[in-house]
Amino acid sequence: MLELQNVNTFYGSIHALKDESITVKEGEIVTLIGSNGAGKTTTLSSIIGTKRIKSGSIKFMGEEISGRSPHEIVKRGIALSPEGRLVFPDLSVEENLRIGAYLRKDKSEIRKSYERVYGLFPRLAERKGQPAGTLSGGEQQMLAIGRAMMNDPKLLMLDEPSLGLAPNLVIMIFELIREIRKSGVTILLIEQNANMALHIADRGYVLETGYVKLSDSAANLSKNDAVRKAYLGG
Amino acid sequence: MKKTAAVLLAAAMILGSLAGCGGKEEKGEKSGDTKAAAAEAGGETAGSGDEGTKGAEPSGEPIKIAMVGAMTGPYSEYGTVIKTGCEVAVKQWNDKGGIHGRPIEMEVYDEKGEREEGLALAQLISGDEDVYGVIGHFMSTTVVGKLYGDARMPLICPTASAEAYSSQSDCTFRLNPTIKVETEAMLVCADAVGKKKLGVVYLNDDWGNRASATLEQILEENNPSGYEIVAKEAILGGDMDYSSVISNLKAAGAETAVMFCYYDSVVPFSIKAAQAYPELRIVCGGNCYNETFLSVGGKDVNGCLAPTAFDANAQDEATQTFVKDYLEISGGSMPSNMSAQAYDAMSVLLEAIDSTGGELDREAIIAAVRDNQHEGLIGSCKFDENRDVIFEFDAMEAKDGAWVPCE
Amino acid sequence: MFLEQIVNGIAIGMSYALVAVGYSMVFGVLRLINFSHSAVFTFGAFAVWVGVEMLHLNVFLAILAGVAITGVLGIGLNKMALEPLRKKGETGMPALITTIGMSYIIINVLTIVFGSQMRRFPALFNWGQIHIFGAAIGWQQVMIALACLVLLVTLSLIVNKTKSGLAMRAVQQQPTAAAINGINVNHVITFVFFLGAASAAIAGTLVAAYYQYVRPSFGDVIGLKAFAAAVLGGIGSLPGAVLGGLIVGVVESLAVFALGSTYIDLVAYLVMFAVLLIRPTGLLGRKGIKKV
Repeated sequence: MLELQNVNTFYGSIHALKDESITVKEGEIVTLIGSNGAGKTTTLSSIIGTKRIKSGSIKFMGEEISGRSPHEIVKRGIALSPEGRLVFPDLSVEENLRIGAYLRKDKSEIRKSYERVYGLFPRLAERKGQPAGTLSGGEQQMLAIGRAMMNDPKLLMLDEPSLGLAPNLVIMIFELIREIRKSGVTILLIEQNANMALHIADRGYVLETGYVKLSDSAANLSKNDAVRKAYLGG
Repeated sequence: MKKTAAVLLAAAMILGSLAGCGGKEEKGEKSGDTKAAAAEAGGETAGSGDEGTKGAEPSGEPIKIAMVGAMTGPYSEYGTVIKTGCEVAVKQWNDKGGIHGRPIEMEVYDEKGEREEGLALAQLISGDEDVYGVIGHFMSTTVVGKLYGDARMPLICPTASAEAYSSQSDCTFRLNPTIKVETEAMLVCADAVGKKKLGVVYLNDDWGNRASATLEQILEENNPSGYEIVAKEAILGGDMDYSSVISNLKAAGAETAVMFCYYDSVVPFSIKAAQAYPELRIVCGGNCYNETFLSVGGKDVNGCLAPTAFDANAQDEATQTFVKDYLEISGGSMPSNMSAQAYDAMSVLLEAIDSTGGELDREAIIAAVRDNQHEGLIGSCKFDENRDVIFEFDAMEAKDGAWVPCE
Repeated sequence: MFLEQIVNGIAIGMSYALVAVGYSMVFGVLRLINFSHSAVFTFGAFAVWVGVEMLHLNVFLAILAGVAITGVLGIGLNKMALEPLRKKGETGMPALITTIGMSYIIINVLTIVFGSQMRRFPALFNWGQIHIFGAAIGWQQVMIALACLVLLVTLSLIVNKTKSGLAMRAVQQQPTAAAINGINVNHVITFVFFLGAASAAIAGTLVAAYYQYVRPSFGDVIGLKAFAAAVLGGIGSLPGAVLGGLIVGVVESLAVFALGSTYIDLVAYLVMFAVLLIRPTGLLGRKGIKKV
């Protein structure tokens, strides 16, 4: 479904992604793990088009998408729930969700997406008219995911969905990710909590300073000594 | 430095006298009687070069005159008007063979309406040995006079309002009315209205404040018509809405508004007054005697009175030729008071240079400007002892798109 | 007399408000004080003047064309000067200075093309006048007030009720998030500049028709007053812009009445400072706005 080949991305003179190659197949949950600065978020930015890549190729459903603008890429069925949630603080919950469906035209389909999101996150339905800035951190995270879902994406990319959340909320979020996958959405997940990530993922990539250090099934990675030592707390 | 300047000056003079011979035959008469004037004025080298240059070919080297005006920026319309007036004079002189066979070249400098820029230009120009006279400066008139005085370049300004301008040096001349003279002329216009209650509207700058004070002083000293100032309103140049000011004048019972401001305030004021207080009569300064005033003001400026020494509709040949040449150069814009003053200033200067017999003796030129007997578009261009031109005004009234002499 | 001056003030204030609404709208979306607004306002008046006086178009056609051309100018300014800055991540001070620079360029080009002198502008709505409390209110002023309200309502509806408006607000609050949700950020900003410039052209046309002249320095003073009005009302708030314009206009007129016309500007700005001291966000401005 998604294929990155030898992608190189720079921030000024900083070489953030070095010949990165990643594949995500339809229906999978794939996770990227790695420490800060390993290039996880840059990978997602490169895919969605907010960061231009220098060389390499990014194919989505067989079509080259690198070099396109974010709105063109989003239109093809990729959605991102960004790091730090980035909800629109002065817009209501409902308006935030509306923007998630910005490129969609079909009113009844959009209606269905609202129902689906409110079904996944009943808390958001209760707070429909409230400005997003007044929500708690967990609710904002739900809103960010919900907003991405409003695009009815084929591929959903989640950047640190559990960051800063209370443990019970983390568990809930991961439950939801599973549910979303069940509904037929492919997921690319970045997660600091590598334990949880590998627990729900099918496969994983370990990134280190812009390189893909390792790639394997989630089960194998969980058993890998180096990975355990570095990311899973021994 | 001084030595080099002297050598250069001498060289320039010799060059000048070389060139002078060319036109000698044509203007034999003139050059004859002005030589005497030059000698009288104490030009040391007046006669010396003449002998040696006899029989030399005319060099055709142009005589340079500097014109400094606000060519760009918010005052550029005035710069254009002054420049065009000067150009007409230069063209007319060049058409009849220049000055003693030498063409006149007018160099235009852009002061941008900024004092500092004007000062910098004066420093540049006063250091140019080839320049024999300067017309202009707009915003910087009071800070440049001494520089030209030291360089012995006559400066004739057609727009200097500050009283102190002409006292800067013995070669700064004013070819526009002083505030006092113009204010008196405006009172003559007010006499034509015949109403006693005056409302003074003045621009809140140096000139406007002084003009308004001058009016009060004049009335204090001598008030045969029995005027009473019932309202005084200061305005700001960029303002567009004068409805509040007009309401004040109306409430105070002012019958005639005496306006010391530029036409660009008088016009919007008149347009508004025509609606809100149509009985109000307006007396404004000579700067309103221009085409734009009439074309923008339309029927709303009907009945506005202004004093002017220049009448574009006068039937004498000089005025008619000037208007024709001006229309040609400006591409169809009618000359204003200001352009006529600029034309006269340039004419006085060129005549003075010509009258020195082509020797280009600076002192002689200054003396010739000072003692000129030129009859210009504004009438006599004689200067008084303060080097201010002696003005004679006519009261004009705006009537359906034209300025006509007031009854 | 007092009432007459209040009516005068409301009439003047409406023209400030008309300009201030555009300032506020652009700021509301982009958090950028667009100092080229008053130059664009003058450009708009000239564009319509050319249509009416030089090309002898039908008045309404001329207005339509002038407003459209000015809108395109707004787009052009954004594309040429501001978009390259945004690409480099410079949105604060450099963008603000750029708008000042653009305003100089526009005014200078107008001066070169048309000269600095006044030009007669046709009185578009010369249908006589109404007398209220001794003050003559012309139809021109009524039209200015109407246009002001129509502009206020239209722009408010666009910003608050349409999808484009939602995108504008999204871009203002979180440009990155707006982009990853499929909003073409550059398009949205371009649209905002188009709206701002078109509203400036409408304002320029009406104000020029009211005063019956136009020239390159036409927008200088009114632009500054309108800016003060926008700040006073709470920049970013459209109703605030109208309220601010009215207050500045009335305060000015009363200052002329009570103190004399010398104090016209002084008093207007003093009121602005006083309000800002008590309410730093302006009368109707909201807290928490990041000032540029």
